[in-house]
Amino acid sequence: MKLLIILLILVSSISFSQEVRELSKTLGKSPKVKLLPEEKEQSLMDYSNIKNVLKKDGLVKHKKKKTKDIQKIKKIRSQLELKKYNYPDGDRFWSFFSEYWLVKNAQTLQWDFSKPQYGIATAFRRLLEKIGYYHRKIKILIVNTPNLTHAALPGDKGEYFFIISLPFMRTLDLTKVDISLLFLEDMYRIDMGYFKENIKEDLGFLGQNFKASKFNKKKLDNLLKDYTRILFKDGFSFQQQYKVTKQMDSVLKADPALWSIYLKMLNKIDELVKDNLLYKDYNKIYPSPELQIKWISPKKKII
Amino acid sequence: MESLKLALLLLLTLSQVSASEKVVGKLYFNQFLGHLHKNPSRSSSSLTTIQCAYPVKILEDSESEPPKGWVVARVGDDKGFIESQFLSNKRPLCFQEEFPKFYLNLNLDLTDMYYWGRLSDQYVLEESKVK
Repeated sequence: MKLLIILLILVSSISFSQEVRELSKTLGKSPKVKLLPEEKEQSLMDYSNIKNVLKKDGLVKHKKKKTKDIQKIKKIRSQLELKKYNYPDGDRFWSFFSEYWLVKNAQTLQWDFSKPQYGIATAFRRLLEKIGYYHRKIKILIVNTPNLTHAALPGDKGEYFFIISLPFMRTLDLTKVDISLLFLEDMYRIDMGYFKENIKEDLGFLGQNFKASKFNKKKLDNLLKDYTRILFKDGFSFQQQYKVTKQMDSVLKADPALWSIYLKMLNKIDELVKDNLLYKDYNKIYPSPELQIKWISPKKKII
Repeated sequence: MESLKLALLLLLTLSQVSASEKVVGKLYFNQFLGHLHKNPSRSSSSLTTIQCAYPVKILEDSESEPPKGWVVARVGDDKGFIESQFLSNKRPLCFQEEFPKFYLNLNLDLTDMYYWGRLSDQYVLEESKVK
C-alpha cells in the first residue's frame, strides 16, 4: 500500500513538472500568454532578447563595421595631419629648392629683364633628341650678369634648370649650338650627381617629419649658401671635370662636326678666361678649359 | 538732379562693362606662383600674384581680344591676361598643398612671391621627346 502511494506521488510530480515546463515554453514563445507586469519589466530589462533581434537584423555586424570605419577614418586623418609637417622628400624637393635659390638671388643674378626669344631651348632640345636623351624637361633662364656664366641646377626627376649669362654669350659670340653643348656639359654634372655631391649640408632631413621637433630653417639657409658657394666660388673638382669632359668626348665623337664645335668653343672660353678679367674666376668653377682641351685632344704619335 | 545724373551715368557705365565682358569658364592656375598681366606679354607689368590652384575666371571680351597663347581673365577685382599654358581644367596638385607647414615656415615675403611669379614668365621651356 505504501509503495502504491509513493508511486502515485511520483507519477503526479512528473506530470506536474512536465506541465510546468510546457507552460514555461509557451510563456517564452507565445505572445498570446499574458505576462505579469513584473515579467514584462524583466523582459524589457533583459537585453539578450534585443541582442538576438539585433543579431538577426545584422545591426550588430553593421555597428561593428561602422566602429571599424570610424577608427580607420580617424587613423587616416591623423596620418594626413602628420603628413602636413613633412619636409619634401628627394623627389619633390630639388625643383622647388633650385627655384627658391633663384628667387633669393634674383637681384644678384639679374634674371628679371625683358629679352627676345633666342631659340636656345629649341636648339638644346634638338641636340638632346639627336643624341638620344628623351623626356628631359628643360627650363632655361638667361641672366644679365657675367658673375655666373653657365650652370645647371638640380630638379625633380627628368627636370633641369639651366642658367646662361647674356654678357658671356655676347662676349664670346656663342651660337645656339655652342650654348647647347655647354648645357650638355652642365646636364652631365647633374646626372653624374656632382652638384649634390658638392653640397656640404646634411640632407638627411629630407622626407622627415617635423611635427614633434621644430622646423629647421637653418638647414635650408645652409643649403642656399651651399648653392651659392658651388656656383660662385668652389665649383667642381678636377676629377669631376675630367669625367664630364671625357663623357662629352665619347658622346660627341659620334658626330665629328659637333665634336669640333665643342673643341673650338673650349678654345674660345680658354682665350676669354686668360684675357678678360671679368671672367678670371671661370677656372675656379670649371677647371679648366685649357686642361679640357688637353684631355680630349688626340695624342700625337711619336714615330 | 545732379546726383540722379551721376547715378544714371554709373548705371550706364556698368551696363557697358558687363556687355563687353562675359565669363566663359573657370580654369586653375598650374604654376607654383604667377602673375596676372596688364597686357598679353611676359614682360608686361603684374596686376596681381596668383597662387597654384587658384580658380581663374576666363572672360570673353569683345574689347580686348588676346593673341594666341593668352587668355583674358579676372582674378578678384583685376582683369588682365594670363598665358594659357599656365592654366588647366583640372585642379593641380600643388606643392603648397602637399607640404603646407613646410611652405608656411618658409615665410616668403611679397618680394619673394613676386619674383617666384616672374620666374614662370622668364623661363624658356622645352621637353625632349621621342620622334
